[in-house]
Amino acid sequence: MTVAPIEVTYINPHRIEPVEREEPARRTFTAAEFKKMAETGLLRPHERVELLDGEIIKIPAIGNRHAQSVIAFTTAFREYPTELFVLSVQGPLALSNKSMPVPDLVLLARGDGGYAGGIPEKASALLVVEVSDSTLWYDRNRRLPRYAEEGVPEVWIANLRHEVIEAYLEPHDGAYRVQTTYRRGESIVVAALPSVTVLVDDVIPLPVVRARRPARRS
Amino acid sequence: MTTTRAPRTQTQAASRTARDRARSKAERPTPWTFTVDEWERLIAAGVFRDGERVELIEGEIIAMPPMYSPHAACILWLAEFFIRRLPPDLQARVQLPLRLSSRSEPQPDIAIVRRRADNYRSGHPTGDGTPLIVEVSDSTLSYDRRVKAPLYARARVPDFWIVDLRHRVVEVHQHPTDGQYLNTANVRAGDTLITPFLPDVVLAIDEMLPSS
Repeated sequence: MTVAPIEVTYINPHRIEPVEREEPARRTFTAAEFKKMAETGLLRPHERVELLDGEIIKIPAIGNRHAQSVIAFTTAFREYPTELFVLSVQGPLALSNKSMPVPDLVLLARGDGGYAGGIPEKASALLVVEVSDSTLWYDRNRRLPRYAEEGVPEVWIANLRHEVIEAYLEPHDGAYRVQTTYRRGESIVVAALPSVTVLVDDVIPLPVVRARRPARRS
Repeated sequence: MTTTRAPRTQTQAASRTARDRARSKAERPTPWTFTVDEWERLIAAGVFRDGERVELIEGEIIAMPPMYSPHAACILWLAEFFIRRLPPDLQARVQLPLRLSSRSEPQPDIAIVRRRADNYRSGHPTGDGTPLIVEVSDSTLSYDRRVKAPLYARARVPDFWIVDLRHRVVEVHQHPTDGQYLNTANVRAGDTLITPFLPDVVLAIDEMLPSS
């Protein structure tokens, strides 16, 4: 049965009253549901996804400088004896019932209270490293507060755009109390592992030089 | 090396060119969205709790608010009203899924659909040939106008009603064009409403929305 467009006769037309705008209630997910979806292939496996505050977030594909920096960090940490820590590269970190981010690198403790197999838990995390190219706002304002809330002792944000490493320490009340910025030529020591040092120059790739049009001569 | 005792908020604005801003916006993390196929697989995999009321709107999973009794009573009134008067070629669906597009599968309170012998056992109906959708609105009036109306307009559903329980008004939306309804009218208690596909039937707002 087709329904033809109808000529409307207005019955008592009134101005539609405005109402307060309310946001739709997006259904949030638990870490258990998120894992189940990933395991059953319901999240497209070639995409990068993580769970933050119950929200499933799609992370843009990794770029050249980002990949290079992750490899450089991995190389730097691999220099150290394996008894010192466990290294997780671009694997999930179980933060809470509602958050399971996928940081670029995590240094995990060994032994009692340390990494016990499977998906790493926040209690065993000594350092989280986020390499940040286009995701700076997201790393500072969405991920960083979650790490602080869950008590991750130290976070480094490798800020590729400004070519510095921001080190955050002393999580308290959902934020880090101490922030230190390390520039080229400097080195950072992991607070929980004083023998582990990283040179900023080793892990921040050189910037891409964008070709500029020569100025027109009149 | 510079150390600061940081205040609670640690955001820093960086000055960038407009092109950098545009580029970084494209590369920003975004909420994950689902297709209708993935959504139906999620349901089949038992990800949602028993009795959870959820629907898929433009790829996002939305939790519906709890069903209070005035809302339920209105739905029941509408269901009975239509079921008794629909011609044989139409059926009334109550809070059942409607597979509107590749990214949306809402569960409208009432959807009049073309009758199928198998009652859509093989798959939920699409919006084709759906002459009327009704959403009863308790606390979701703004959302129903802002999100549901364009959704149904894009699916070219000719008639969409929002029953505003609080103000005892039915908002009639008609003439879907370019993703929105061009004609809107308010019908109040004391007025009557004629359904376009049942022109001989008259709906009394007072009966649908009695004052309590």
